[in-house]
Amino acid sequence: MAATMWRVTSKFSPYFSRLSATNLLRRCPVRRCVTGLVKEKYDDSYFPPIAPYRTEEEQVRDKLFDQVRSVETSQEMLKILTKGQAWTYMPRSFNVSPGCLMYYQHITKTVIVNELPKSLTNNVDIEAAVTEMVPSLVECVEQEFSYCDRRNLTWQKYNSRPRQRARWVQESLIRAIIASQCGEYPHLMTCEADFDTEIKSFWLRDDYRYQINENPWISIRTVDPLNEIVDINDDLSVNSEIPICLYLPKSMNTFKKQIKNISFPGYKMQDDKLQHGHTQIIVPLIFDRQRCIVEKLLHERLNGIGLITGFGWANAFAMSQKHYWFDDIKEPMVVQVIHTNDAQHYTFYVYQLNTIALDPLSEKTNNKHNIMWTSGEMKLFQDIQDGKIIGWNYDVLKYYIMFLLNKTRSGITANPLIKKLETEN
Amino acid sequence: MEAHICRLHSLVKLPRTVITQIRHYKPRKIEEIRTRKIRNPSVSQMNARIIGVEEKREKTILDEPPLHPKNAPLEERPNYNEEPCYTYHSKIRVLEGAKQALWLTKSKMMAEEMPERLQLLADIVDMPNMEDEVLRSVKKCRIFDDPKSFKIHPERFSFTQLMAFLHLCTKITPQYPKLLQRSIGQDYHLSAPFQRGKDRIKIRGRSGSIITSKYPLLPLATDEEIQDTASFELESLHPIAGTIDLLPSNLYKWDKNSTGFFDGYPYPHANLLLVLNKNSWMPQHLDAQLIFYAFANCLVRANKQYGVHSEVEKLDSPFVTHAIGTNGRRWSFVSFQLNTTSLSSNDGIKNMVWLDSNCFLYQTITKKTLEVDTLDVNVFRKLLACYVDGAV
Repeated sequence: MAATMWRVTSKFSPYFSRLSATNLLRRCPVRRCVTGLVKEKYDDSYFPPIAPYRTEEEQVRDKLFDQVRSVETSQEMLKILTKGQAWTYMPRSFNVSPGCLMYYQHITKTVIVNELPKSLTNNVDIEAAVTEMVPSLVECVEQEFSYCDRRNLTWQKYNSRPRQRARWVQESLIRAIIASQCGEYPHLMTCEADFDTEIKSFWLRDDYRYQINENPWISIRTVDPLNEIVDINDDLSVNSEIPICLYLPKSMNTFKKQIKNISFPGYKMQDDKLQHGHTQIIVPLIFDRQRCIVEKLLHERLNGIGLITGFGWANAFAMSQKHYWFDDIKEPMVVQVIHTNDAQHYTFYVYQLNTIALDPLSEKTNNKHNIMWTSGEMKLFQDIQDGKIIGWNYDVLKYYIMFLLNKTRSGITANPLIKKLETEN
Repeated sequence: MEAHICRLHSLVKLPRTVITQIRHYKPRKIEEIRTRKIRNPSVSQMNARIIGVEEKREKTILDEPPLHPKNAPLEERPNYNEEPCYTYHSKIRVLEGAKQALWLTKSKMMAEEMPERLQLLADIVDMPNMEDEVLRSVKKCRIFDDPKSFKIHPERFSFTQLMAFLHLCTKITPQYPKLLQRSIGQDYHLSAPFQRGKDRIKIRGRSGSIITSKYPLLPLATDEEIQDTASFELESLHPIAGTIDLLPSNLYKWDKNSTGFFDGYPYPHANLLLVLNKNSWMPQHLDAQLIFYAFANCLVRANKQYGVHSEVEKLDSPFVTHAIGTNGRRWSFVSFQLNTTSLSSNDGIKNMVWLDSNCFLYQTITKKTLEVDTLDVNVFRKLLACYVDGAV
């Protein structure tokens, strides 16, 4: 008993010693005045400067901010941010629950415009290329639907046949466009196409962590970023409103897991110059068009897919350039997405990332919104009768070419890493 | 009435059968089941016991509808033939490898290199920053592809390596604009029948993807070289039969001859086959597959022109196709020239094969230091030569 008592007293003993009368007197500046020291020596420099009051959250933010600033590369930054496991909600691109679009808009803070931007559609320079390309692209689609003879398929293969066929069509379309136009467009000459990649990215919103894992069929990268469509301080981004979703994420069909967060835009970036996303083509396996039509939620769900894939990919690129929620991006990032399921129905999206500072602390001073433009669903052709395609809609092929020939900024490298690499070489 | 039946049960005596040779012999359980059957008999059993007549279990066969031809016995099916046909498809590994493929296709191994025309092309063809881009594509497929830096499976990197090289090949079209008249067919299904000696043989199935074009390839050898092959003697596989490991079956269509594409296809000529070695076969088996399918693609087009089983001794314009097989790391190149379609006899003019099998793109890769050991760019040059051939 005595020993424990001793410990208790010894525990508090330093406090008592610090608060002892002699010690207090020694520290107190008033004492010097009392003892008759000169008043000029009583300077402000004697005291530390008075810092403004900070909450506990702000102190954590500053600590993390300094910690990341001391590090050079983005990989070391990601090591700090993804230390250990955390409870994260994992939204999927094709969400079944009604009201998913409202929820996704709230998560990613985006505004939706139901038109493609006019700077893209009114481009006159492409029309000569379109007239050249269209007959060759028609042949690519006809080959799969009316000329290819595939027999003795098992029923498992037969079930996945429309999706598999759509993937082959996208492959041949892109190869045809790059082959014919890479001479005139230098960004296609240096681009790279990744097939069947995984894309992962994570962010903070409303005290929750979110992560998406996706599997696009083709993703094209370029050396320089795409041109911005709207200025970062435009009315669309600053003065627009989005629906506020106060429901739990559990009710919106997104569930949490305890995992280690990963950000991965399709490849690991180590001394590689192609660091900007251009276009992405998705052929998802789970999309069920007939169910969406019956429930009258086709438009909503298609927008949800484009929104979350566009944001996820752009966010992963932003993280690779050493930005995160407390250190926001300076210039907007643009990414294009094309969605098909059966090579007949197409939807086109353009996504502009203006902010990634979405957590509650940095949102207080942040007015900016992300923006997405959509074309809505379009039919490439009406029907197939006796192995021949009827009722072509060439506007779809025109949009397809327009997306791929969209020029990048010339000679601008936003990433400081690339400049370093160039100077070393 | 019921009580009367119940009394009858005890009176019935069943003969005891001796059950000793059954593996799981459980007499007590069997007796239980037997008594249960006696207590709860079926209606027909009850009637039989009351009347005292033995139960008849034989089925009386009435006029049944005929069976579906798929379920009918072999000999009654519509595609039945008395002579068996030996089929080769993409999942068969042949015992003797390329040697057996040469014997079955009646062809002569010209050289274990590329043909001269392609070797010249490989020196001429050039791209800006070729070495850097090849090295970057290798690093992308082997190191940067995975988020968690695990070991990447060969099924994955063989696919990505071929796709990356094809993407580089498309960028050479401004130099050779004739390459625009091409397309790639995926997962096509072909069947090519022919007679070799006394055996009927068929090559069928889906090998991979094929690059087709609007123009045929020019022959690789001159007329004098074709005439010289008449004196060449084929290397026999004695005492092993030539058809070993092929699947014999009596159900087949002997006259069926399909290229994998319907009539009216705008790109009828075959240029290049692309085969992936996903299951990590030995190189000899992959080489055999390449020779078989290159031969089959030639033969199908010849049969379309001259008719099926028309054994022409010397074709006026020989058919040529190239084939490439990969594991991502090991590459093998085959070019085939079809001179004859008379394969039943061993004499006369033979077909030609050029095989360049063991080409390693690189030896080893270390992930930590990001180094690729002994990168060989000539492998990519060979692929480019095969791709560009015919468009120069």
